[in-house]
Amino acid sequence: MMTNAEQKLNSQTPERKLLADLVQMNTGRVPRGEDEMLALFAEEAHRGVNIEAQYPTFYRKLLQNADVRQAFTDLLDALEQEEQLTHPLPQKPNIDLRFLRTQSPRSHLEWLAPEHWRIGWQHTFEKLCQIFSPSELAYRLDAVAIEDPWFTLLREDFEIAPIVYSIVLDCNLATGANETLTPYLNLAVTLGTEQPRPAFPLQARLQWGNYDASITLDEAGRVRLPDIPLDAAFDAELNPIEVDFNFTLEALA
Amino acid sequence: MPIPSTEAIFIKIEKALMELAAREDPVFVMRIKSILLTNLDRGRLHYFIEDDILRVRLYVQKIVGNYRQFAPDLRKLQNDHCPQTWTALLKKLQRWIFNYLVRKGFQADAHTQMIAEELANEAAIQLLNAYFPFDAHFDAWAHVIVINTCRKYFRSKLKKSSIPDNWLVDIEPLHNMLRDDTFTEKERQAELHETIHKALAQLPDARREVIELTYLQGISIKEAAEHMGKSVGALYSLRFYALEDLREILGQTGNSNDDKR
Repeated sequence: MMTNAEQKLNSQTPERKLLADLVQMNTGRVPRGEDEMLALFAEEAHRGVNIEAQYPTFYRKLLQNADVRQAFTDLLDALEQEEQLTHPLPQKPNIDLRFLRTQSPRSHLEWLAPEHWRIGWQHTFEKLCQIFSPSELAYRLDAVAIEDPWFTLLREDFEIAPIVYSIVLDCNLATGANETLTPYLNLAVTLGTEQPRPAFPLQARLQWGNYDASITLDEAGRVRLPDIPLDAAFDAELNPIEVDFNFTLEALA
Repeated sequence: MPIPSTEAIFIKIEKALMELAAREDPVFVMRIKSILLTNLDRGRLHYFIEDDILRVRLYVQKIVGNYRQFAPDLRKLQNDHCPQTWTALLKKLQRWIFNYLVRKGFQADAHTQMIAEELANEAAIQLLNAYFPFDAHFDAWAHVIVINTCRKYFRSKLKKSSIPDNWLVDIEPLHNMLRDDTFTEKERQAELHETIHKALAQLPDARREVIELTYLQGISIKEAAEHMGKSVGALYSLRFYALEDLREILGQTGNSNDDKR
C-alpha cells in the first residue's frame, strides 16, 4: 500500500515518480494468491501493453518484490525466445510418457439402481505426495510464492451416457487463526444430442483422513465444501500423512 | 475510482453471458460461465479489471477466445492423455527448460539436457493436473509452470539465500528525500534533479538510457524498446536492474549527505 506522500509524488515530476518507485522497491512480501496472474501480465507485456499504466497494482508488486520481478522478466525472456532461434538440444530428445499411466486416480462406477449411480475416486499416498510435494504446503504458507496457491485435488471427466460430467476439486490455503484448506467443487455437464436431464440432485462426499464432508448439488456450478483442518491430513511439518482419500459423487434420484 | 465488489462483477458477468447466449449454444455458455466463476473465486477477475468494471466484458471475450483456441488441445492433454499431443508438448517443455537453464549459466551440453528432461517430466505432471484459467495463452501459462519447476530445482540444489545482498539497501535516505521539510518546493526539486542526475551518471549507458527514456522523457517501454533496438522483455529487465542500481547509489548518497549535515 502506498503512503499518501508516495501517491502524491507519483503524480508529480518524473524525478519524483522515479524516487517514489525506488522507495517502493524490494519492500514487500507478496501475499499468497496474488501472483498467479503472471502468465496473463507477461503475455500482455509481450504484446506491447503498457503494464505500468494498465495494471498498476501488478506493476507495484513487480517493484516491491524481486522474486516476482525475476519471474516476470524470465517469463518475458522465454516468450521472446520462442520467436527467435534458441539453443538446440545437443541430443535427440528422450520422451518418456510413463507418467500418463501413473497419474490417473483410481475410479469406480457402481449402479445401485436404475438412474441411481455412484462414482468414486481414490488417491494413493504417492499421488497426494505429488500434489503436496515435500513441504510444498509449508513453503507456500511461508514463502514469497509465485506459485499458484491452488492445489488441484481431482480433475476428471466421466460419462454417464450420453452426459459428460466434468469435475474439478481444488483447494487453497486459508491462513489466519486456523490454517485450513478450503476446498471447492466445480461441476460442469455436457449434454449429448438426446438431451436427457442431468442426474441432479447429486451428492458429493469427500473423505480425507478424519475429514468427512458431504454437499448436495442441485445444478452445475461451483460450490464450497467445509474447510479441511490441516491436521486432518498433514503432519506437523505439513507433509501429507498416509490416510485414505476418497471422493464420491452420487445421483440421489 | 472504488474497487468493484464481487457482486458487481458477478452482475456484469451475467450480462455478458446473456449476450453470449444469444449467439452460442447453451453448453458452450455453461462452460464459459463455469470458468468465469472459478476465476472470480480465485480473484483473477479482480486483478484483471483493477478498478474498471467495464473490463469485465473484455475479460469474458478473452476467456471465450482462449477457450475456442485451447480447449480442444487441453482436452487431449488432460482428459484423453493423447500420446501424440503429449510427445509434442514434452519436446517443447524440454527445449524451454534447456534454454532457461542455459540462460541461467548452465553449459549447453548433454548433462544439462538430462536435467531438462527430468524437469520437463515434473512440469508435465503439473500441467496434467493443473487448472488452466483460459485468461492467458496456453504457452505463457505453461511457461510459468516451467519456470516454477526450474526455480524449485535451483532452491533444492543450490540452497540459495532468499535475500540477496543488494536488497539490503538503507532506504531511509530515499524516504528523507521525499519528505524533507527543510527545503522550499523549488529548492527540493532542484536538489532532487541534481541528485538523480548525478546518480544516473554512474549507471552503465544502457541502464541510464532506459531510465531517461521511460521516466524522465515519459515514453512507453514498447517505444523505448524500439528506440534502443531491444525486445520489450529486455527493456523490462534493463529497467529493473537500473532501478536496483539507482536505489543502491541513492541510498549511499543519502547516507553520505546525512553524514555531512
